[in-house]
Amino acid sequence: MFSQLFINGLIAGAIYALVASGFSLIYSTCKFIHFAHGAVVAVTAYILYLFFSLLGLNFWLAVILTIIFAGFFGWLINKILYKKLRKRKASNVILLIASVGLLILLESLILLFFGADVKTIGFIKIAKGLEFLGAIITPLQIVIIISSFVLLFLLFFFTKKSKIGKAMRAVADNRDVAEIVGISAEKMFSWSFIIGSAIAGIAGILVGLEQNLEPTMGTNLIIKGFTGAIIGGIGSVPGAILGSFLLGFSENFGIWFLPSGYKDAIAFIILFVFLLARPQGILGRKK
Amino acid sequence: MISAYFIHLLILIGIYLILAISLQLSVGFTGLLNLGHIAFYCVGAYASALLALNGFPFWIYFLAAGFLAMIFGFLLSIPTKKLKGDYLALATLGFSFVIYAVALNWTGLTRGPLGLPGIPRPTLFGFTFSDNVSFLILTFIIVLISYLIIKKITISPFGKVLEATRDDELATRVLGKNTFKMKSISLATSAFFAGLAGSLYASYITFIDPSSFTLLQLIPVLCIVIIGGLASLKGTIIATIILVLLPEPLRFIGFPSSIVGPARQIIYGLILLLILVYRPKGFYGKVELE
Amino acid sequence: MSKTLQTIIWIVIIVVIIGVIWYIASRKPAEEEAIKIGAILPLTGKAASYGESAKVALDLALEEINKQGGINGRNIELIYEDSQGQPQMGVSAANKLITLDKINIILGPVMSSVTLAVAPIVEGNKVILMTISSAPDITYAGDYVFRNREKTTQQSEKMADFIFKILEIKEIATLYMNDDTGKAHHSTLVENFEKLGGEVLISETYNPGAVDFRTQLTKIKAVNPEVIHLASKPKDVGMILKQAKELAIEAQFVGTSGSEGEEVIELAGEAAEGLVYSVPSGDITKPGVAEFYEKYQEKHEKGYVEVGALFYDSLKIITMLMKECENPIDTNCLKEKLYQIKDYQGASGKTSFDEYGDATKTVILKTIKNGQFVPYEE
Repeated sequence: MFSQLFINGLIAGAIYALVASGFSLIYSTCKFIHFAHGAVVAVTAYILYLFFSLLGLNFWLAVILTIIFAGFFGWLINKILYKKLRKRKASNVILLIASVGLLILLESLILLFFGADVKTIGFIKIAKGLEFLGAIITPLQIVIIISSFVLLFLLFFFTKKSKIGKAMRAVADNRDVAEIVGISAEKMFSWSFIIGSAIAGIAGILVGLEQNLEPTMGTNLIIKGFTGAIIGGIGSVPGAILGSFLLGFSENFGIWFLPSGYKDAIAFIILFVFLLARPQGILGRKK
Repeated sequence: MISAYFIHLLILIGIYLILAISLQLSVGFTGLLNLGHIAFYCVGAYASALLALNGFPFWIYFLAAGFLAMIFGFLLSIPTKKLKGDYLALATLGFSFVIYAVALNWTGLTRGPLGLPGIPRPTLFGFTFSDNVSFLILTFIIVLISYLIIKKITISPFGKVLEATRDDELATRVLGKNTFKMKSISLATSAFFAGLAGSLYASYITFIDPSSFTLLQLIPVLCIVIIGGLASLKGTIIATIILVLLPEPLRFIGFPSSIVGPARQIIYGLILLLILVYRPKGFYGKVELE
Repeated sequence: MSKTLQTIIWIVIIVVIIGVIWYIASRKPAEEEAIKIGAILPLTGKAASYGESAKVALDLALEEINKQGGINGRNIELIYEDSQGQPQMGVSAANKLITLDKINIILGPVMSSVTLAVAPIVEGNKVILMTISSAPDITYAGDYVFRNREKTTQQSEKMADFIFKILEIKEIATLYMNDDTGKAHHSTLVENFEKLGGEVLISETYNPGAVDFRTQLTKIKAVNPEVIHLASKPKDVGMILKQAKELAIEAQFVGTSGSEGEEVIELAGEAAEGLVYSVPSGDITKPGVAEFYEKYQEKHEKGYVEVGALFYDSLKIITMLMKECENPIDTNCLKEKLYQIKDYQGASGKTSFDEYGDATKTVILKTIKNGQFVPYEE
C-alpha cells in the first residue's frame, strides 16, 4: 500500500505543481498574488472541451490551439486589468483583490455558458492502469507526472539561460535596477503572464482529462496551488513545484493515519503553519 | 404594507452591516487585510447556537458568541503580527479554511454537515422575538449599538493610532506606539462584532451548517468594504444596502433562472473590478488599499 | 461633486431600486384564474443539476395538469425561485413567495440545509412545503412540512439484505460522502448490515467537492473486500468507479439511489457495468412509471429521473387533493388529506405518508447493464 500512496501523492503533487509553477512565475515577476490563475486553468479546460468535444476538432490540434489561447488569455488579462491598475500605482494588495474579483467573474461566466453539470473530454479510454513497483498508475497519470518534471527542467533552463528568462529574473530581483539597464518591466510582466498562463493551459488540459470539468474547478486548484507555492517558497518556481509535491504527499499519507474527511484540513493547516512560521517557504529567501 | 419579504431583506442588511463595519475596522482603519472574517462569524454562530440549544439565556449566548470570536481574533493576531499585506491575507484566509474544516469534521460538537437545526429565537425579559418584525427591531438596535461603538473607536485617539499604523507602521512604532498591541486589539474587536453577527444569523435562520461559512460568503462582505470605500463607515452602510438589494430585482424581471444565479456573482465581480480600476477609493473611501 | 450631493444621489438610487422591486412585484398581471404554486430549487450553484432535473419534471406535470382542466377549470401556475443551494437564499425565496406572491404551497427545496432553514417559515405561515431532502431532522420539522422521499433506512435495509443474503457476503467496505445524505445512508447501512451479522471492514469518507478518491480507494483495496458500498452522488460515483478500475480494484460495487445518473456512465464508462443500487422507484411494469421515464428522458436526457419522478408525483398529489378541497388553497384541508395518502401509485412508485409527513416508498434494486439503468434481476 505504501507504494500506491506514494504514487497517489506523486500524481496529486504533479497536478498541483502544474498549477503552482505558472502562478509562481507570475508572482515572482510581478510580485502579486494572481488568484485568477485558477480561473485561467478552468477556462482553458473548457476551451479544450469546446474545441474537441463540441466542435469536433482533431484532438492534438485542439490541444495546440488551447495552449495558444491560454497564453493569449493570460496576456489579455494582464493588459486589460492589471496593467491599468499598475498605471494607477495600485499596491499588490489591490491587485490581489482584483484577481479575486476576476476569479469570481470568470467562474460565473463559465457557469453561465456551460452549465453546472460535469463535462468530460472523452479522449482517453478508461482502463486498468499499469503496474509499476507494486502500485498501479495509468498512462495519463504518467504523462502528468512527467510533464511536471519536464516543466521543472524547462523552466529552470529558461530562467537561467534564455534572454527573456534572465530579464524576468532581473525584474523579479530588482525592478528598478532592471529598468535602469534597459529592461522594460512591463514587457517582462507581459511575458510572465503569457508563459505562466500557457503553463496553466497545459495544466487545464491535463487536469480536464484526468478529473473532468466543473465550473468551480479553478478555485479548488488555485487554493492547493498556492498552498504548494507557499510551502516551497512563493517567489521561487522550483520551490513552488517542490512544495506542491510535498503537499501532494502530505495529503495522501496524512489520510493514511487520519480520517479521510480531514484531507483538505491537512492542506489548510500546513498552509497556515507555513505562513506563520516560515512565510518565505522552504526555498524562498526572506523578503 | 410592509411585507415580510422586505423585512427579511432588512434583517439581512442588518447582519451584513455588522459584518461589514467590523471588517472595515480591521481592513480600512487598521490596514489589516483580514480575509478570514467569516471564520469569526462562524465561531460566533456555532457558539451561540450550541449555547442556545442547551437552554442558556439570550444575554449569555449572544455575548458569548462575541467573546469567543474575539478570543479567536486575538489568537489569530499573535502569530500574524509580523505578516504584511498579501501574506497576512493568505494567512487569514488559511485560518478561515481551517475553521471550516473543523466545523465540518468535528461532528461530536457541530454535527458536521448535518448542521444544527431548531435554534431558538432570542427571548428577552420574557418576550420572544419569534416574528420577524420584532426580530428586525432587535437587529437594528444591535446594529446601532455596534455602529456607535465602532464609530467611537474610529474617532478616538486609539482610532487615530490605528490609522497611523495603517498608513506607516514603522513611523508609528518610532513614535513609541506598540503597534502590535494596537493591531491585536483591532482584530479582536473586529472579531467580536463578527461573532455577534454570527449569533444573530443563527438565531434568525434557526439552522446553521458549515456551508454557510465558506469563502463564498466572504465575497459580498469584502466587496462591500472596498466598494463602500476604506475607512468610511458611511460608505460601508450605503454599499451594504446597495449590494444586498441590487440582485433582488433580478428575481422579478423574468430572466431564465440559469442566468439569475450566476448573475449575482457576476454583478459583484464586475462592480468590484470597476471600482478597483476606476475609483479605487470606493464611494467614500479616504484611502486606497495599501 | 460635493459630498452632500453624492449622498443624495446614492439615496435616490436606493429608493429607485426599492421602487423598481415594488413596482414590478405589484404589477404582476392579475391572473385571477390561475392558482399559484411555488417552487424553491437550487437552479444554480453546486446542486444545479438537481434543480434543473426537478424543474423539468415539474414543468411536465404542470403541462399535463393544466391540459386536463387544472383545478376545476382553473389553471395552475408555477413560480420558481432559486435557492442557489444556500439556506439564506432559500429563506429569501420563501419570504418572497409567501408574502409577495401570496403562495400557500411550496415544492422543494432539494438541499436539506435549505429545507431546514425554510421549515420554520412555512410552519409559521401555515404554508405547505413538500421537499425531497433526506436529512433525518426534517421528520420533526413541522406539521406543514412533508417529505416525499423515503427514509434512508428503507434503501439500507434492502441493500443490506441483498449483500448478506443474496450475494452471501459477510464483509464489506464503504465509501461515503461527508454530507447529510451520504452520512445518513452510510450509517443506516452499517446498522442494518451489522444487525444481520455482517462486518464492515473499513469505512472511508470524502468531503463534497473532492475529485481524487484514490487514497481512500487504496486503503479500501488493502483490506480486499468483495463488496464496496458507495453512499454518494452520480458525479462522484462515476469518478470513484473510474479510479477504482484504474487501480485494478476488483470488487462488486453497490450503491444508493445516488448512483442513478447519466454522469455515472459518462465518467466511468465500462467501469460502471454491474453496479447494483437501491432506488425508491416505480416498478416499470406498473402504470405511470414507464410513461413518466419516457416522457422525462425525452425532455432531459441527462437528468436525474428519480428526482424528477419525486417532484412530478409531489405536484400531482397536491393538485389531486386540491380538487377535493372546497377551497383549493386551504392548507389545513390539504394538510389533513396529505397525511391520509396511502399507496398512491405514481411515477416514483407507491407513496404513503406517515404521521410525520415522511413518505414510505417501494424500494427496488437496479443495475447498470450495457450503459443503461435497468432493474436488477436476481
